Amino acid sequence: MFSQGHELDRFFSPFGTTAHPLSELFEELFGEAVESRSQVTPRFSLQETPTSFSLTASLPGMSEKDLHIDLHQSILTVSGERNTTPPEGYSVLRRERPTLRFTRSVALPARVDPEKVSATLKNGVLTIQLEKAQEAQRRAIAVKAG
Amino acid sequence: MQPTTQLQNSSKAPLSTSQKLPFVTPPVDVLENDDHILILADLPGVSESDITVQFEQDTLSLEARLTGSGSEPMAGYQRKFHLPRGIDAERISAEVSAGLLQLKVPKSADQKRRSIQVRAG
Repeated sequence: MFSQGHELDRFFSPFGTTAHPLSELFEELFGEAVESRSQVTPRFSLQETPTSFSLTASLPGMSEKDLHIDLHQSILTVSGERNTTPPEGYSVLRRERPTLRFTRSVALPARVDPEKVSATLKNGVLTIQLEKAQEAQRRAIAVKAG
Repeated sequence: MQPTTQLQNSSKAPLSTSQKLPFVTPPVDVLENDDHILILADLPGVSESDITVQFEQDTLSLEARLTGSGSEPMAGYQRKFHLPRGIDAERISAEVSAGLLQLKVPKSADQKRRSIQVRAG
């Protein structure tokens, strides 16, 4: 049987090492720092278009009831908790998945329309879409010949 | 909790031979009880159609594809496990829910813990 995780460890060095430099976005969202038995803040990524913001976070195994999202003026706050306590009756051979316990606030650089905010949690990824307030949306200005 | 989805042992070709994608090693918890070994892997952004689990010659390998917002795969997760003898490969099962994969590796009958009665001689 597994002996103190040594058999697993032997296979971790030749396999599962990155063969390429990771693309920035991928690294940002999915390259979490893993520390066993410590609390980790998940990676958040904020993107902007001329008309909206979208905030994404990697939260595998998180359920909606453990997640709280709050928007106050231009400050978006996401907090939540995901435990990794082993279920009853199991002995632990290896623990790498971190407990997630976090509160992250983001000051959005433009006003948003609070009526046009949506949040979805799919496959453990949280995506919050916020539409900018009308006056904050970037629009091209037509140049007329004088 | 969201509903879970059953995963069949797949015979799809491994990602690494068909496409060169950057990949990441997902963190795992490995637990065991008398009946089986349980491997939990964090695979955020992945649904069951993106995951390939294969078992060959004592090695359990896991690959998953991340597609991001489009349909083009952006990157992948990959990890291999050397499993001990005494497991029932035919009954390995895999289930994914909310980006968390659970692999259950049953121990074969002769490996399960049994109590042996001591008789007075």
